[in-house]
Amino acid sequence: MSELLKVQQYLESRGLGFIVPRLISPASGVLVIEVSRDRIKRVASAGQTSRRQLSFLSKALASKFGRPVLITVRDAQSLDDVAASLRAVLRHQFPDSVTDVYVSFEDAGSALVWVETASIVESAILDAAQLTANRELANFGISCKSFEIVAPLRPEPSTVAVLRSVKILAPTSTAALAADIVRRGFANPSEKWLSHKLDLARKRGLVLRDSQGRYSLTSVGLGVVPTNRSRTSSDVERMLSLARRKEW
Amino acid sequence: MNFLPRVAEHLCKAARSSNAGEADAFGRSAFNRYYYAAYLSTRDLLAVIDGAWSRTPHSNIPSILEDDLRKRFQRNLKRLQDKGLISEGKAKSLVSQVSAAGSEIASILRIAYTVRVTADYIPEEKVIFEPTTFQLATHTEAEAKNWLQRVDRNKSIVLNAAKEIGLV
Repeated sequence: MSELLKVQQYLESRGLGFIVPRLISPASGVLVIEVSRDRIKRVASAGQTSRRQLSFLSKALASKFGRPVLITVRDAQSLDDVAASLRAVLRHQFPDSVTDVYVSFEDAGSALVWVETASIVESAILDAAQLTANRELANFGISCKSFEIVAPLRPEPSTVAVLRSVKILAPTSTAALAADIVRRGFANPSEKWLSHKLDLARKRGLVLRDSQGRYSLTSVGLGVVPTNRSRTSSDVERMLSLARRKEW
Repeated sequence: MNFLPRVAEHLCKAARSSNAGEADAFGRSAFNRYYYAAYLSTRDLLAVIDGAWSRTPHSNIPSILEDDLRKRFQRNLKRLQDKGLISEGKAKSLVSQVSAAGSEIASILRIAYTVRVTADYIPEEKVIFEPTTFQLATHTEAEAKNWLQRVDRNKSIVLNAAKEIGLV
């Protein structure tokens, strides 16, 4: 068992698990422990410590482990400031890619960074953003432990979006519908979800289900799906779909 | 069409490394190419919503984006609301998204169009070179470079809303 782990266990046994043994300096043998500033109160209580308790603790650790002890206080606010500055830097340097940045400090020396992007962004830009994040955090003596990209989620298809696919493919199975919905850039719906959605539409008189479980629009349903004067009109796509199937 | 921004960047580079007279010509052309990149991307969007819109004269496009686009969404949403297929709140939020995105594209195109007209038709107004950048009609090259990206970002908002109501 490493010595730091022993120190950790000792601290935990005294109910001071929130005080973290950081490192043992290989050169001087000093044991560095760290406590967040927002844990230090005037009087020690559960989950809180005091200056007085810390000085006792420092002596106790020194005699138990035979090492000089250094207690460092980490400003919690300072970590927030680091996060804010990283956010500002990334958003300033990549205004068209980065929409938001979240930083979580696993401990005071390593950060987990999540970057939210406006759309699917080129990997070269993401690499540049990661380098920037590493450099910025290094200025504060913090290592960037992970750098994650949060791309915008694909939206769930709306009822009308499902109806549009039904119109184009009718008569159609749920499997073919699901594939078309994904092709159009929506989240991949499960067949169960899709059947439920279609059943609701059926009860409203928008779609029909034939004996083979295939769906088509009713005339009311046809009236709901928008059309426009464009090659992407649902009417045009319906005709092209029929032509491809040679049923027309 | 995806090459236009690269052409523009190439012209910018040429403008920076040429002598005064040539630099002005290269610089103006860069602004022209940046405008067309933004314009053609917008025209693609309009063609998807309504084929007739894609033949609109340049100077009328902003008003289509600001008014007709919103009206087209409102009309379709009204029908969906009547059938109870979309909630009032959702419909309002879609209209406001589309209208904000449309207005932003419109304002970008207005600026870009002004600069482009200056670049092409008013040769006596010269490109002004500064140590790191250059500008025409008070708009910098860096700004022009962003036109397309800003248009594309708003375009995707409009397209997503169109998908949601089954228009596309």
